[in-house]
Amino acid sequence: MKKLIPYIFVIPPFLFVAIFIAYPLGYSFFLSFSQYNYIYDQVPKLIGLSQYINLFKADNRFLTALFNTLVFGGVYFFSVMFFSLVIAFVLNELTRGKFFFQLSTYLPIIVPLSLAGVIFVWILDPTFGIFNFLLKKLGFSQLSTINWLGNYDTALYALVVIKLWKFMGFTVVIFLAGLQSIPSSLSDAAKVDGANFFQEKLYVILPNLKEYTLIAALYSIIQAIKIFELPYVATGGGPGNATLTLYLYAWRVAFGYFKMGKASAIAYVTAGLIILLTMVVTWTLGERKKEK
Amino acid sequence: MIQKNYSIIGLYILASIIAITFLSPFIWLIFTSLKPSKEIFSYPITIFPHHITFEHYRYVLFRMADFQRYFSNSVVITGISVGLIVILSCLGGYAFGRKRFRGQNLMMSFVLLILTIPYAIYLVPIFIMEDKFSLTNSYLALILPYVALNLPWGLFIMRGSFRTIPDELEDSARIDGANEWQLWFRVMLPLAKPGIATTTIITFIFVWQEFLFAVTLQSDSRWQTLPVGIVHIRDELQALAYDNLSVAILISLIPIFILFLLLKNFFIKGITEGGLKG
Repeated sequence: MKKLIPYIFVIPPFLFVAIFIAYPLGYSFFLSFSQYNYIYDQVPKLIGLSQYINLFKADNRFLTALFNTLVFGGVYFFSVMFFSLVIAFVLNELTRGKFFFQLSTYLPIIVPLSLAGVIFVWILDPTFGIFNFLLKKLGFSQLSTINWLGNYDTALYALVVIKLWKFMGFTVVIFLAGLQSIPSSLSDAAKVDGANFFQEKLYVILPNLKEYTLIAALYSIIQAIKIFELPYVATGGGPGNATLTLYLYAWRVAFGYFKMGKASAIAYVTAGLIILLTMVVTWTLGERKKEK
Repeated sequence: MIQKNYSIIGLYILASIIAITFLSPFIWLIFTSLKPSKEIFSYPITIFPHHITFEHYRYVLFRMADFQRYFSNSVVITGISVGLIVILSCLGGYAFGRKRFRGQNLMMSFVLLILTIPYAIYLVPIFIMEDKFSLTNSYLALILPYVALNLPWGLFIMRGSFRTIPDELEDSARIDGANEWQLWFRVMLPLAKPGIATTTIITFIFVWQEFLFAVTLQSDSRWQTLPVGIVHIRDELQALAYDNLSVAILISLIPIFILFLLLKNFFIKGITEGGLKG
């Protein structure tokens, strides 16, 4: 009887996990090797690897989506890491009003990403948007005519900026926690030894932030690849296919064309990409995160 | 000394630029919500409202039936989901944190593994499953997957929280004759409050903001939550209806803003301890 007690506690949550996570994980893996049009086909038909091969060999839209995802991911990842580190450095030095300044960087966390998209469509509106209006006022009249979300060359980067606004707070929090864990005696010693501001940050602070950098990087990798709400709401994947991403494409294949097998294959490629990048990051930033 | 003063001034200028950059979309939204519709679409743009009006607030709060519907859907779905996640995480986390049992490591490894898998993978099977059981377009359609998707996270946080409780407390409660249920409910749960607060804020933020599952599983907009519902409102209004839209967005942020202020420190603890969520 005593031995059974833990299971009474574990079984209720694991029923949920089994039905809504373990089973879907397996079923979509099976679907990714099958042909299954949800409207016409009675049952999924196994077609083996050819689904994956066709994606890479014969599906231009998939390749575009993959390319856009990688461009978005790369630009987003390095920007979010760099800017949140810089912002954390600045906020950490403040003595008065720390709460207000920190709160202002975290505040966008409360905005659902889809609504962040709606807000920025308004801000970046070519006619009534405040952004281009201010650009014009500041004398950048050339730039102020650009329809940022409607231009083939700028739309993807405009989405990166929206995502940075929304998610930067998370990584700033992580870096700030890291900076606060470093004893001030360390940077004092560096200053006594004659290190300047940049030397101190680069050689003394950064190496001590490794663990926190890893957490921030792993967090950002997932956000860098998971791009759905913004193109859905702000650009519809356009103009052309300029902001078509893997997530958006998988969703359209599944719920626009009801090709559930193909959509599952795209989802698995996306998951594979995230896991691969996670491994690269863990490997680059040195020691594995220890399990507490 | 003078040089030090300069660097402090420089620091605060920098911090102010950062703060203004992050706050400006909110400020612009608030300004827009207070302007009469005519002023919103006048050119040249007026940055500060020339005339302040609350007509859009009145309209959205009292006459926009769609918005009211989405708001109450969000409240119901988020309330039930977060409640269930907290209860189930407290149950499972307790067993993982303070018990030894067969299959424990295997189960925990699986929980940690699924923390790194993107949610898109579950979407197609969950849609098919819910469609076959006619579960789509209901509160349950979203509550069930939301609970499951957030459980690994909750279990992970609660396991850590229960682990930090000293063994002596458990021993003395047992000597006092507490049974297993009393031990969990009366002794352990009150001591795990910080973990419960962290789980609450993290899952509340997720569920209140979720878009992908909501847009897929609720094709009938009557069941829709705010993140998708407000986008629906925008699509239906076609033209730039940012007068009412900006009010709707601002109001939809209030519950999460209050919770965020109340539990800010637990939120920070939650993301610095883990940090993976997709």
